[in-house]
Amino acid sequence: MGIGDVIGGAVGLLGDPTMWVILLAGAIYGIVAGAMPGIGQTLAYGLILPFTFALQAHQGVALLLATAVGVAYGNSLPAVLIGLPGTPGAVLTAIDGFALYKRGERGVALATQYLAALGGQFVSAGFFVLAVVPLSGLAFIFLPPELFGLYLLGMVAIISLTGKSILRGLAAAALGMFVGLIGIDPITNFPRYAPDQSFRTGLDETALVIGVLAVGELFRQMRQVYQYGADISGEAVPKFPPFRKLRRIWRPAIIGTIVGTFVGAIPGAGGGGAALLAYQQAKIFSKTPEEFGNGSIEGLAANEAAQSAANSGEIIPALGLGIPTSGSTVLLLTALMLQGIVPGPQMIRQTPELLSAAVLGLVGATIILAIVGWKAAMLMVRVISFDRQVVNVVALALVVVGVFSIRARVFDVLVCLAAGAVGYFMLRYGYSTAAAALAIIVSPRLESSLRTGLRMTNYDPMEFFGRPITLGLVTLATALLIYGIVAEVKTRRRLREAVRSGPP
Amino acid sequence: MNPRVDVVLSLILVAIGIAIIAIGELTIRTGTVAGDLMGPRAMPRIIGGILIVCAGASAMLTVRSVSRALPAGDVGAAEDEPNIPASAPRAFAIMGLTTAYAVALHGVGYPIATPLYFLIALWLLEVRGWLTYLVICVALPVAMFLIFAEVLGVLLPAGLLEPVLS
Repeated sequence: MGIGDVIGGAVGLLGDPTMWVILLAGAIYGIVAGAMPGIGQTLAYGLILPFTFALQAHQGVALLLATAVGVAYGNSLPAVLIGLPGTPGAVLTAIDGFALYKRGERGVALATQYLAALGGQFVSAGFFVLAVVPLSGLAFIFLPPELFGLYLLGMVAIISLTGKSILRGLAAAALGMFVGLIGIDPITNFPRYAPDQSFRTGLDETALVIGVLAVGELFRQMRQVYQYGADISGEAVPKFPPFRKLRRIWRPAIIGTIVGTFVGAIPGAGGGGAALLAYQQAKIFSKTPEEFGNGSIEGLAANEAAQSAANSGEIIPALGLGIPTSGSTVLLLTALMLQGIVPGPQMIRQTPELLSAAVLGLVGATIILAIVGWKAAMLMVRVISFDRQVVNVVALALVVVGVFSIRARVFDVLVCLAAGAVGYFMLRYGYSTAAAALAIIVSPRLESSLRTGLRMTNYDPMEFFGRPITLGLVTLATALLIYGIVAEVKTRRRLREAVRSGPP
Repeated sequence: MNPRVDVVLSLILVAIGIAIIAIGELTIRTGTVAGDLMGPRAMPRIIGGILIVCAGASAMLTVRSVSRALPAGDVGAAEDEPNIPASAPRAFAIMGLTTAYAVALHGVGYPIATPLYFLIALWLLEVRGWLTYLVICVALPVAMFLIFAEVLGVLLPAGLLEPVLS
């Protein structure tokens, strides 16, 4: 399958009018959900996931990726309009974008964000195709030992790079792995930790993952009653500024796009990490670095382009290798599993239309954003003003009904809510819900590939770990684990020394 | 983050790790597939071991920080918004209410359970205003029904109103 086939497939999918509706619905839902502070990409995915069950696999992928494009744009709107970052990646947008907004350069701030998001998303979709097509062609070299290395690396990367405590990250992953084991042993076919028939089919992975990632966060938000507030509802829509005022944004936008695509592909790094790195790089190359932090359009452009480009970056390993890189890609792969597709390096080779649908979701939603995004920006002020408590309750009800609708089983909903309760405590006490969710999905496959691989290599560790790709992946995983442990030890030591030396 | 609750949670995870290993040794059948030397008990042992070591170490670090009056360090816990009162009982009440809603969905039925859920949840979250209640408790369940039933083709249970609606 070549790049031409992928693009041809994406264009072919446009012949189905349903895809247009799906792209439009996904992009608009994404902008609205993203504009609500507290609802990031993971929660937005979690709310819409049950709906994908009624769609075909490629339609579900297009819907979720169109949502991701909308969320990346929507997340930055409260940051620019009222200085409230919707996600960690939008913190720098809130600093520079809101500063621009406050000194009367509203049109410049919103136009910079709008153009950088569009450019970052559009160009990174091209990088995505260039990266995934060769990756999927390598699928045949991933035998069980290589698959084990891949799954292990994915899990360790998320643990080391997302949480601040490696101990708690490992504990969270172990808990998720245990939950993933409940049901039938993949080799012997005998039950494990399954006292009755409800457990023998295994706990529903969709319900578990939505519970841990989305419901846990919603429950946590129920602790407090407050509104985000916005006092700009009476303001007129700013005019789009002349392009000469935006001349300086092209270089930082390119930096943001490249950094966002590559950093987004690293498990655990995500849009937040990409945005920060892109911001730093743009400052280094800028002729006016003193503006950064005080209303710099270059900083804003780099940040926005990186966040949008990370959407494409993070699905490179997710679709190319079947390895989720974040909570939202865990949900993306869960949506595919709902359709009976097994995540893994063979996924694209066996279902090539998924790749075309992914490209269509990214590019199609970007085109829709280009048409509606400017007008949507000011309309989103109303969304920010929605009663936060009402939004959270409606979101919970949608999850209950949505999860119920998958198999019409109350047990699945109870599993989801139980996972949500566990997720509440995990979030409150620093145990990574992303690591747990990833482990739930990956653990049966990790174990199966390990046991099958060991049988394949006659239980000879030298033969198992001596395979070049397996060795490389396991070495990288070990290095990441050591990095995480060393970083945590150093942080704790610095903190103790700071306390011992007392205040200056 | 309450250090006492933190330690208790860590110890619960240690107990879960011990239970995983113990229950696995007692209940998992082994030795049925030729060549599978690792067997079905190996992964539970590894997982249980990781939980015991990591959660146990986490508990010890927290106890040590507290006993030496040192800050526990940033473990990445999600913090509440500053200067706004937080209520764990409110969150637990919503958890319980949502669970009751899930159970009632099948028994009592969607048309009765959903408006009731919204009514009680919004009241618990201090939402006031008759128009909000009218829209959320009446109009929204209808809109949700139309989306799920008509657009997605999902049958939502009528429950007690089955004789009336069918």
